[in-house]
Amino acid sequence: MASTSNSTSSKIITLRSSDGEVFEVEESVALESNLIRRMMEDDCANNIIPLPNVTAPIFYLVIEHCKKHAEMKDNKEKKKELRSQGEELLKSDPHTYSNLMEAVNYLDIKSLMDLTAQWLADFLKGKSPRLIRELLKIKNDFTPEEEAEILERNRWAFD
Amino acid sequence: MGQSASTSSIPSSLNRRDNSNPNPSRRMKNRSTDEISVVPIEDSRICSYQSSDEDGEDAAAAAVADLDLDAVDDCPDLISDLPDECLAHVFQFLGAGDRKRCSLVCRRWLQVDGQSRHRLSLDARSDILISIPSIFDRFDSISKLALKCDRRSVSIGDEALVLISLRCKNLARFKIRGCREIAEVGMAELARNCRNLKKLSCGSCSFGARGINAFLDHAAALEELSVKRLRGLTDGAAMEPIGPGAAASTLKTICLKELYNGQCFESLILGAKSLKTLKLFRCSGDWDRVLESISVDQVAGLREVHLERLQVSDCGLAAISSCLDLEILHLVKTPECTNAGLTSIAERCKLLRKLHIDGWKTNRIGDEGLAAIARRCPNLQELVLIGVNPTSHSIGLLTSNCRNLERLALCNSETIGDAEISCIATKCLALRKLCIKGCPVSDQGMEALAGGCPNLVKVKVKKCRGVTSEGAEWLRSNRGSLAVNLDIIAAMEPQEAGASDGEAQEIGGEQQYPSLIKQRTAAADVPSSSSSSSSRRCRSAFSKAKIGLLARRNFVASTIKRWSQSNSNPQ
Repeated sequence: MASTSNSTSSKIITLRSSDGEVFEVEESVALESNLIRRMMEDDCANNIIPLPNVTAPIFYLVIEHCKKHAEMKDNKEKKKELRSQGEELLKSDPHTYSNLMEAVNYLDIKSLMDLTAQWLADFLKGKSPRLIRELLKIKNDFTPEEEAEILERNRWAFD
Repeated sequence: MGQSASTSSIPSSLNRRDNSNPNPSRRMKNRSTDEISVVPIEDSRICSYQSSDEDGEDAAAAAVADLDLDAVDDCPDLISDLPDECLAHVFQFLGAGDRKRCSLVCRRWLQVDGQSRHRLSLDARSDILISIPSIFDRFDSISKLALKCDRRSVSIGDEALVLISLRCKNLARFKIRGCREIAEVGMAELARNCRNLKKLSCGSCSFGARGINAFLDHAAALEELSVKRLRGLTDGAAMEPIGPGAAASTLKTICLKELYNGQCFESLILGAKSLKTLKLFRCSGDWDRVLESISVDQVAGLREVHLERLQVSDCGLAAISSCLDLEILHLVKTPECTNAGLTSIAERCKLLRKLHIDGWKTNRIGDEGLAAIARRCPNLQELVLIGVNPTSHSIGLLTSNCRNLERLALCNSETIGDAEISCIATKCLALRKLCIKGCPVSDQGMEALAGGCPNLVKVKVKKCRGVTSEGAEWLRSNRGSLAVNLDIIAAMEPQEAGASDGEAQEIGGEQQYPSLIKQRTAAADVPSSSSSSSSRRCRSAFSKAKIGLLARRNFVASTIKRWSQSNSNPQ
């Protein structure tokens, strides 16, 4: 809980999401984002930092996970817990997942980039192409011939 | 260099809809916070979310309606908002099998997988030839490529290798296994076409010295060369020396494994002016001579030397000691090396940081050599002793002189008891990790550890009959932050213990043959000047003897102490 213990001394950064919500975030948390870090270095620190590509609900999720990630650093149990949350989200709400990862990518937060990627990777592991399409509502846009050709090419690559 | 641009960047001209949906979170807007968040708000001081979302009830319906509208799009999948670079990042977390399956999901995934795949391992049978263009059309960013052919199949030949090298000009690492049809023409073209190749690893190929030379003549960026079981190396008058070619100034690491006539790599080793690491594993013949020419030719920059199951004696070690910058030395099962050789290393290689010795229970390296290390190598950080029997004399010196010793492993030492552990516990102030395996220590030793080594974070105790689970538990409870790893073998029947001895597999993948025990002592007496062929024989005798020892150790722990004096079987 390092983030809470020094909350009194830490600077607060103000950010505005694309839909106009204003967030007050501890500097230590905000600096997880390389985008915000760069903006601060460019001396936008005294103003409200606009985040035109991130909506409020998604930004809220990002902050939550930043905090969680900071907490779990040396805690294997929490790490596992956080890793397993991805499946839940992907099953119930792939859109939010997708938006979350996109936001994380935009904000350039390395730790969450890996975490969210791991979520989808875990979700995809061991599943057949057909099942993946079904679960994520992806349309099969291959012709049968193309599919056969890919299968043939895949045969040469080792698992 | 046409491909270099495509390695890092992913073309944006794909069929994803990043522009078609300028506000990707549009669907989110009407949903309540509760619905979205995986976690409830806990600390409002950190994140004060200053809004409340409206109409949570109708959100789901709205989302569904939204979705239906989107279904008109050509690619209405639930994660189509995900940019290609994110999808590529996800694929990095998947193994080859899962990536294969993902590539069959849809065109976009196929494309993203193909363009973001940097590693590829192919079945290098000859009939892959016709598929090569289409395979490398799809995977156009490969930087690490492995071609493997199994023993029963006919492998690809030079034509295919040339074709592949033309398609993978940015290759940084290349590995070939069992491609017996590849010859020097293919190897030369590979080096010519792949100018950035930094690492080549070849195993069970047949192109011999010629192929290696043809490759090295053009491999101007090569940093690491690993050669295993290369056929076509001849000896005597027909021997073709392997020289550094174009790689003379870049080559940093040479690793040779299981070669006959590997001595023909001598001029390569001497000619590699930037050589930092030399690894020689299970190569036949006399290696002293090669190592001696290193000392003459001053391969001075050598930092790391591994010698395993090699015919190398104290002369070779004395030669290595001329590498004054040596930091890492592994001496594994080199039965001719003695205390004198180790002392010569200690006297000149003062920067030594890591030392691994597997004495193979020959007792030729012991207190004397280790005491020299203790006196001369104050930088020692890591010490691994397997089948070596140091007494408290050298252990005491090591612990008091090597103030930086952080990692220590003592395996199958008959002389490491509670007294030695106590000495380590009181004097090794920097020690972080300790591993004790198959040593006559008891709970008393664990007790000593609990009170000593202030920086210890991890202790591993394996196959030590004297240590009980109570002892380990006591250590755990007294040192809360310490990770204690203990296996209990005390209750096993002797025969069972022998049969289920995991360590036998761990060390050599061998099984027990207690009756072979006498061969070990015979083998230990082979004179150090044995010829190349007798060394091969000696090697096999040794490995058999090792099997016996491993088995025997489990039978009667208490008689093990006397094994070096008498070779009578305790059973």
